[in-house]
Amino acid sequence: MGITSKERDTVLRFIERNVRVAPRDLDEGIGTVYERVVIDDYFRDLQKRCNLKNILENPADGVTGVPGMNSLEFARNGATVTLSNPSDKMLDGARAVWVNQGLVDQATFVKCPVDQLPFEDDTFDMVWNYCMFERFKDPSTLVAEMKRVSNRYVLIMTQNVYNWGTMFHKVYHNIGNLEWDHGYDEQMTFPAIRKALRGQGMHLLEEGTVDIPPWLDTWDMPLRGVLKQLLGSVGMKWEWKISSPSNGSPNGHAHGTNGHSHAHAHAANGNGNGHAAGAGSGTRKSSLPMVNVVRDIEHNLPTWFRKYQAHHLYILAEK
Amino acid sequence: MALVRKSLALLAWLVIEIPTTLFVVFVMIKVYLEERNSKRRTKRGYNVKRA
Repeated sequence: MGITSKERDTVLRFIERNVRVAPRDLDEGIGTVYERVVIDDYFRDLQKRCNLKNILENPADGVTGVPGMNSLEFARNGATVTLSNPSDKMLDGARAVWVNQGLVDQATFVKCPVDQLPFEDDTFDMVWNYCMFERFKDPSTLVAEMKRVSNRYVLIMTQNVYNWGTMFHKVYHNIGNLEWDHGYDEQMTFPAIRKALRGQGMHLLEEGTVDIPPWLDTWDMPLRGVLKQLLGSVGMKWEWKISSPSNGSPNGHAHGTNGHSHAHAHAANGNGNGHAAGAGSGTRKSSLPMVNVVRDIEHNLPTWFRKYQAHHLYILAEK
Repeated sequence: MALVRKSLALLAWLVIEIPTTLFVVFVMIKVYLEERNSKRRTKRGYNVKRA
């Protein structure tokens, strides 16, 4: 079956709508900034452990945040990054962001369909995507193409259907009479990701949960503007942004501050249990104090609770 | 010790989560009412420029 033309159209509309409304001042709102900080923690650790130097994000996106932001952390730590996407608007927005961050020399922007990549076999150390897998009922052609152009790793990160925010977001779409463009519920689960990766003959290396702050996953609800408006009315300023390329780090490069990672990965060597070996130095303090407090809470949450309240699930697989 | 740490983290998480969830619900209702009022005003022609 593969990817249908309706799914391609929905994805394109979703991406282009987000590019239109995404903030260009890098003030993404606390939810997205927190998400970015904890996902970047994981990426730094992953990049170090797996020695990733050449990465493809396909299809690349920015979701509620700034277009093309998702792979910036890899580039900050020395990797070259390719962003492929079927939308010119998204790629133009992403290029502007990468220029602004001073990392455009490490990036390549390629327009192409999500499952017909114009790259040779085994081109990249890792191919990944963020909240895109679940948009396809049958993602086999997408995953097969990701596997083909990767020389070793494929990472899939999705939304978590069990998070309470999913229900609220569905209500939001209903009352606003908005098209449901976030994908299929059944694809936002560990079993679906495992099935897709194993279906391509890949070996699962680790799976984990990330982004579990004590607030609802609001997905793309427009809270940022409302919060600014509400606090502005009482003379307060609401601003959350990662304003520098260093994401709070003094030298612009990732170095762990406490010698251990909190990415909370679990080994996924066939049974999905156990803990991943080799967690390196990933976490560093953010320039935003509230982020550090919330992150400390997240890192200590019980595993059973994380599975149901995490905003994102991920699985790393190997060819 | 790990159990105490996890219990405290869970408690802290819930103490923050419940008010923030109520706040999100409040914002959702606010956004909904604003959109509905805006549609009503448009329908009645309040936003239409008159010659």
